[in-house]
Amino acid sequence: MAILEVNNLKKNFGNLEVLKGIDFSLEKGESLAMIGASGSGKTTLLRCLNFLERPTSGQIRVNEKVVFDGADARTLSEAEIRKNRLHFGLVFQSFNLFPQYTVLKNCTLAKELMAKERPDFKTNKKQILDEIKTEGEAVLASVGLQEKMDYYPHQLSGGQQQRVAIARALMLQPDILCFDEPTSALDPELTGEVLKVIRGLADKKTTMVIVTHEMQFARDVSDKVLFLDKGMVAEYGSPEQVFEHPKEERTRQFLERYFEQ
Amino acid sequence: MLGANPIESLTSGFLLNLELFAVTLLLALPLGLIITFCSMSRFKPLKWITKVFIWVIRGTPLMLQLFVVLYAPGLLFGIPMSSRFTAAVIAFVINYAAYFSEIYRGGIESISVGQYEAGKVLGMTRSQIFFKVVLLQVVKRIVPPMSNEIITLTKDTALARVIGIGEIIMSAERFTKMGLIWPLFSTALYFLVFVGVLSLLFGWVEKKMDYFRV
Amino acid sequence: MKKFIAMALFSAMCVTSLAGCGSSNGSGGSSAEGGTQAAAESDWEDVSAKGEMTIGMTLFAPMNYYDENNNFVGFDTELAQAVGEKLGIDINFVEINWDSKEIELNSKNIDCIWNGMCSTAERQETMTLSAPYLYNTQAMVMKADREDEIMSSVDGLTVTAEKGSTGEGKLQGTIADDDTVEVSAMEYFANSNYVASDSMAKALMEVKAGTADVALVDSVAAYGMVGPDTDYSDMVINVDNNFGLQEYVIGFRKGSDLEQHVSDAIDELYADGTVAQLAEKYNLSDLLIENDAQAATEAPEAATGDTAAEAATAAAE
Repeated sequence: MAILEVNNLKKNFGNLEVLKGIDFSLEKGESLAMIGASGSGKTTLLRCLNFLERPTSGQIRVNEKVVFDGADARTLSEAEIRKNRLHFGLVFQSFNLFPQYTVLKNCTLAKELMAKERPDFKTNKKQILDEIKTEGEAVLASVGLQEKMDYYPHQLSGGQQQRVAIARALMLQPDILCFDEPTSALDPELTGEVLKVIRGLADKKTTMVIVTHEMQFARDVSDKVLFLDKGMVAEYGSPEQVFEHPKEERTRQFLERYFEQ
Repeated sequence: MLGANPIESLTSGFLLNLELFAVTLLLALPLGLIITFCSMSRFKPLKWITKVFIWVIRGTPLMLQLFVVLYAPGLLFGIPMSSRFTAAVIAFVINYAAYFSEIYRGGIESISVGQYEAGKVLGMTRSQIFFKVVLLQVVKRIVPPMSNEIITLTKDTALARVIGIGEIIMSAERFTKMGLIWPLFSTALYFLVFVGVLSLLFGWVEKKMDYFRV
Repeated sequence: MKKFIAMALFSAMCVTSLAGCGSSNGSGGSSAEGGTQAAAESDWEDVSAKGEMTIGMTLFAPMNYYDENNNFVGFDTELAQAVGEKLGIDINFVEINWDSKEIELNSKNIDCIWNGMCSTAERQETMTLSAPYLYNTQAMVMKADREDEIMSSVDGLTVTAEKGSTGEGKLQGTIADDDTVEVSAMEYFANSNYVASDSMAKALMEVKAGTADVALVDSVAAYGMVGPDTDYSDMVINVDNNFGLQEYVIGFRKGSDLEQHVSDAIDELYADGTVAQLAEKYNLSDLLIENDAQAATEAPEAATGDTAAEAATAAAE
């Protein structure tokens, strides 16, 4: 059963068609690597999944539930969007940690705010907050940063900051965790620790969509590879199919350019 | 020939400066935020009107605005302004709110889109994002320019004398009219001491927010 | 839309006040524009209904000032209070910015200007003036140790006066010399440099600081500022040159009926001797203008230029 289904998703910016009808689906526990040249639309696609961009038309379903339908997109209230986007987590290229909060608070803030809406928050306040804190500590431990939890973001290296960002996204237990070029803003020597964390998540069968330029990593870690070209899915299949036996000439050219470097 | 003790007179004059300073701050700080929201509104006419308003207020001398507030009601409608101090407060609040609003706007716009988006993907509401994520970063950014503006306000309060507010400079000028010069120059001490206290306060606030970088 | 109207209105106000302000500062300009709607209704009715008359003034001795016991006194102060008693109304003194006196009047923030104000042709145009009650002359104020040098020749020296004052008008010829004049200020200072000051007090400060050599100010005001107990104890007032006499008057909104009521009260105070007593008290007896109908319209005969100048000197002692 597919956890994520995207049907004929289109996105225009004014007259510019960035996504020209994207179709793909993803099974639970699979990780999908999205590759393609800059401007091919992969970041836009990711942002559409996370409701940071509103698709022009098409449908997105998570666990067979429609979370977006271009046909009646206008009926989606802000509250509904808020609820639906929680199916997804997003790790940004530039981390976007909250600078005024500690590493731990970065992870727990959103969950604490949500807990305040719970009817039993007032009566069980201390217990609820303690639980969230424990969760935060655990999730930080899972990315190897438990001893940094009282630090502020600017005191950490780029790689550590990105690991905090991953932990922050994991806190809300999204059905699908998305990464937008998670290592592009990092110095080369810091990419390893972040990729290691993502690899660990793949091993634990976390459902992920990863936009990346790291071809070697995409080949090693992902279960599916989606090659996006000019706003369309040019190639979709297992890493072996896409990397070793691409059906399309443009895929071959793209990969050649990459592996030449 | 001299009336009250100059020191007493200057001190009571300066209390008026302080009162005008405090009331102006108290009202202009929140009003500035409202103006900021209007100037950043997606409703175009409101945004446009606010921009014109800011242009007019920043584009005309505060002295003239004091005159307008005090005299316009009487000149245009025959109903004179009842209190000079109220007139001064209105003019100062409007003027400073306009300046504050631009500082706020600069601060808000300097926060990267990524901060808003990070809040969104974590399921926060717009107001949660503003108050829990953006606000403190804005505050940190605007403390230095606001300190400047507030220190300027301290000294600008002396301008209220043009509409007959008996603030410290006006008090001092009473003495120059009676042949005593030194009170006028001693007023500097009052301002220096007060601005000194303010500077320490702002320094402390900046230090308080040193723990994070934006 | 409401906001837009408010904005347009506000802009209009800015222009209005700009016009009003400019003319009150200018030495020769007219400030008639602001006065169009003045005194459309009866000022007297307003004042008597409120039971209060608001007088705009600036503090200066001997007209309106605080004495050593911090009591508000002065010739104008006490005369106005006596008028208030006669009329059965309270007198409310408001300290104003002298530059804005016309706009204060026209915006009804004050009911009259009563503060040793000289009668000028311009003010006769823009205000309704009372009968004159005191003479004033223009005095030269300078450092005592340079008096001989300066009085022998002012050529090449720097003279200062309050902007918009009678002194400036005389120096620049915007106030024409009348037949009370023995020495034309414009001719006397023809070879001097002129600097405008913010106020008469600032004019004296210019002299004290040496940025000007001599100040030309109202004699009555000068005697209030220069004296042994002041920072100007090293300065002297010289009234040897009679640059002409001015008359102190009370200014009302153009066409105001309040003037008649105040003048009637002053007539009574002249008649019962109160005015003379006050003049005596403040050492102004020799400058007092007798209360006869002619004094208001004709050049004074009771006090010639000579005697008034002597009187001004006497008042200093």
